Amino acid sequence: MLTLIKREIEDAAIFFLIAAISMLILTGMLVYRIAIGWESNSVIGVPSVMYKTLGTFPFIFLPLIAAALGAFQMKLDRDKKISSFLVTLATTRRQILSAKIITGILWILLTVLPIAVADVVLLKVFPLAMVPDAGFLVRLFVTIFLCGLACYSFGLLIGWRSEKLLPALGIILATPILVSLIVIKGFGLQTIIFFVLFTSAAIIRTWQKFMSSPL
Amino acid sequence: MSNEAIKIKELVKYYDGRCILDDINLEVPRGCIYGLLGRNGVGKTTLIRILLGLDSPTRGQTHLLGCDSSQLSAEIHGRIGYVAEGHNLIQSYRVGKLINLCKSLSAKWDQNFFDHLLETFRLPMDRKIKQLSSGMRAQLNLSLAMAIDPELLILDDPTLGLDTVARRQFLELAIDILQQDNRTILFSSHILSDVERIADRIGILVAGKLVVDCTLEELKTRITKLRLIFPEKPPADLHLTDIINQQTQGRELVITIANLNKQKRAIIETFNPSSYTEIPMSLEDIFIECTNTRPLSIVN
Repeated sequence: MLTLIKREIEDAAIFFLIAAISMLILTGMLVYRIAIGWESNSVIGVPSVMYKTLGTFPFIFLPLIAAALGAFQMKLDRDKKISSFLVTLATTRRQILSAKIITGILWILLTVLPIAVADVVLLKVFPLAMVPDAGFLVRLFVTIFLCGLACYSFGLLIGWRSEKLLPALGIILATPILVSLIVIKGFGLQTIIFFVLFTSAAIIRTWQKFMSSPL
Repeated sequence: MSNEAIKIKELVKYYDGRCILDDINLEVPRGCIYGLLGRNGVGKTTLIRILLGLDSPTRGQTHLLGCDSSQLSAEIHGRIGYVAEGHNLIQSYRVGKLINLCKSLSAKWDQNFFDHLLETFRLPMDRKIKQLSSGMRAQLNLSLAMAIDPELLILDDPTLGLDTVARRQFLELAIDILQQDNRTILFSSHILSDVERIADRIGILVAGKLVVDCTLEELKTRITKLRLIFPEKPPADLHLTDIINQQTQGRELVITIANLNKQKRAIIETFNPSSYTEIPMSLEDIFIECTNTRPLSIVN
């Protein structure tokens, strides 16, 4: 299993590189904003420094890149007939797909965790006038994680196709719709439940397709 | 433990509304080298893909090493070596990287034997798979399949696209490997001389049906080609069962017939041919006769 995960990470190396560089830049920006240029006003309950810094990446780029990663993994596999080779070795379809999903989760964690940790640490070191409570921070990052996961699962589902246009269009159209839910419903339980249900449905359908498709 | 390495029961496969495999029943005992023959597009590769769980049947069941093909575990996969038609390896990988991947995903890996194969084939480790010639890809694929010391080896037209030298080299090595005891091999090809050299049991697929399934010797014994010369025109009413092919030219009648026995000979004698000759048949002759005419069943 570890070999399969390692193989998936190597194939999607560019995505991990993008994540690592983005996280370095974002964490740097966060440190700068909180430590040097800190502001105390807030927007919809989120301190504006966090809002401005986190606003761009987690809500625009993370879901989009996560969906692209899922689609990339499946499209590459299908086009290059990777699974049809792998499945003839001492492995199974279940292990191959699990390795893909674990890789996707690792990628999302890699993009969300550093910012989450940096936020918590910095807010402790440089307390703001309006410090969000711990529960809010948990809800915030859980929602971001689940949003990324939902988009990633959608990418997996739509990527297992022979044509290129539909996956690309699907990602471009569906990702903003999924993300807009956060804007409408906020970081509450309802949003979390929706993302969990959406992710489960997408994963179950991908699983069923991958298990039964000719390789 | 099941005595059959391969078991196929009432297998039917439709693709795009076309019947590719029609009610195939086959049992290959452990230790057998089975040559699966058939013209292009008769369903050899589809049959193998269904066996390996790469494709699903429309109806019927297939088992490999006692396990249902649709539910082969990683452990069972680890006991099966597979050389795919066209040598479907990960094209973007370098040879060395692919070898490492296969090694880490194998339950068993005979490094000494693999090194010996690499030395024999002189494969460039730093070259990408897509940059290898088809001969080199075939050699690499066979080496990877053999390094796991498989209990069951499935070779799907492994010499397709190879030049004569590469094909001979490949076969010599394959024959060496095949000498080992208790290894079952399913060898699909349309190069009959290759199959004739190594197979001890033959199956012939014609239009999706397995029309022949018996040992090579039995096949040669059971199919006979007769040249009959009559004093005048050959009789039009020479009706026998199991006639595979029949050609008339002048006073000569050439019949290819299965299961020629005393009764059939006696019937032929009643037409008083002036000459009666049995023409020896190679596997290639039998194959051509079987695949060019109406399907006939010679199944044990």
